[in-house]
Amino acid sequence: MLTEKKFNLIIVLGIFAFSLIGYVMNEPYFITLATKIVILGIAGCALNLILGFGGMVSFGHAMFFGVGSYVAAISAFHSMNGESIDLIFFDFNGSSQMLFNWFLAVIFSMFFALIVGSISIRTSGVYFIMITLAFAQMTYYFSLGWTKYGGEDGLSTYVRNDLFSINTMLPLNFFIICFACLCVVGFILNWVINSNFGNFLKGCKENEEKMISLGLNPYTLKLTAFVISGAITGLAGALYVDLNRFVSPTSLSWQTSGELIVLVILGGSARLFGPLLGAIVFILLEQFLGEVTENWQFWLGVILVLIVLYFPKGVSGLFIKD
Amino acid sequence: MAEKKEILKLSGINKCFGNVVVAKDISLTVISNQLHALIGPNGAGKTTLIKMISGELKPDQGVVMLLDRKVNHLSEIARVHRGCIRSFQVSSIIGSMTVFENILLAVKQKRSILKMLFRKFQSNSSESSFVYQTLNQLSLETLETKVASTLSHGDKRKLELAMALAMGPKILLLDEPFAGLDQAESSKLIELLKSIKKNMPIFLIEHDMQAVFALADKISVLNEGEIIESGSVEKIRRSKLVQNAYLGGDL
Repeated sequence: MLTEKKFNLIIVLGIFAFSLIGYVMNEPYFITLATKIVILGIAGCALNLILGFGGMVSFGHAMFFGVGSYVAAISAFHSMNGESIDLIFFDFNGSSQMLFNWFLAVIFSMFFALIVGSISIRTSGVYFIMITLAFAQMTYYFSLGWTKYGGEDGLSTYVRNDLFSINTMLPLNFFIICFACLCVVGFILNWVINSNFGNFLKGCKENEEKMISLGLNPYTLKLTAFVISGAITGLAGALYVDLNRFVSPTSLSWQTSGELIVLVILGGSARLFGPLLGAIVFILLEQFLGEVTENWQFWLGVILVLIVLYFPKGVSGLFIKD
Repeated sequence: MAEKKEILKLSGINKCFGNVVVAKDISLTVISNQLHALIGPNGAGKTTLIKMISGELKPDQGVVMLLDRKVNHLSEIARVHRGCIRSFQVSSIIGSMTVFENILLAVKQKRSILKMLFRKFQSNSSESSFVYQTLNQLSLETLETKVASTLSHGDKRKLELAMALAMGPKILLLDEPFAGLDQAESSKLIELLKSIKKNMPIFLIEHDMQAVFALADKISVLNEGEIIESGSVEKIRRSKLVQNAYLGGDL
């Protein structure tokens, strides 16, 4: 059994090694898989902040993922075709700069999380699940009808955005960019979880009444966590657009929200990088089971049931000692 | 002699849930360094009253004064910040954290969200010494690293009290702290509360008469939402009204 720190290190280095193997073997597909794992892992870890540590089961996190994706994609799209967006006070010409598009994605996702969270967090349990789902479905149906940006066909950006003078079209370079984002996100989440705030959040999950009797407002604590989580999920969405050079309403759908929850449950909630392991298991199952059978999701369901029944701490619980 | 200051004052508190009257014109005062006990049969409205004092419920009528200021309009959280600290009927602790961490939570509760985010959950030297002082006061020092959910019932009670004390209360509202304790644990808690009440006003709701008579400076008896008698331990012991209405015999 490992300490959580060692586990985190092994998982992160493992993903890095996997992509290097892909590079050495000249198998860019391996690198793309590793990149996808990293991006979904970032989104899963962000969801885990509120689900695993805050006890809020958001079934609408695809909204923040999708908002981040669409914002980054729209910015890149306008930069590419030279058409500006009239924003009343100024014309926005879009941007092909990754950093700027990430920034936009994070700001918009934060804003959405603030609005959705400020309403949803007034509820709890199944009502919280349903209200977050309802908000996400609203944005999903909006995107379906948003024909200016592709509607249900989605929006292509064709080329990856730029970051300094790095050739982002090379799979390994883009993987390293995403990997660096994962490290930064991991550092931020680790900080939050181990801060006073993180411990009061855990207290909220376990005994909200006690937090009130300690003079703390659980609503503020949970909303702050929700906004942080939404912002990081938005960043993951922006990275996903750069990976695929395409965004579609699927990124806002309830299936995507469900997949993010699956990552958390598979990997293990209330562990910093549990969902990252969840992403590894999920993507590998998708690849290898997908080669064996078309109905790979059926078997994923079976595995998920077994994990919930026999390993409530997720796959990471098999490796980490309490 | 130190001046007796009114810490908590209730005047004409009324509360109904539909047609059921749970508080009828309740008035009482808790003064500094006094333990004021509230007794009464199940369903008399004791916990409802403590909820109205703590701010969890609002009275329909009447005034709640805390340290000479009306606090009716204040939320539960705002009243906590004014020093009105409450314990619950069922031990309310964070079971997954250690005893030390539970008390540290109580010590750190006054931080703003931003300060909370940018500070690690660890104690500085003054916080540590304060936590250890509280642990010693409650005889919990040997359990410092134990996970709270694994504590005995009595120790969970003590931990909850330790958390309340660590918040620097102006008044303690204790809701049946003796519930579920055995004789030995009760005796220890009586001694502990005796030492605490020397420096702190306590409003105690309790069924354990032995504990109430050992501790109380003043007792009020609540029956069907109404205070039927109030006074010293001897007065309550002798009161025929109390005996008939509540205890049904000699005390």
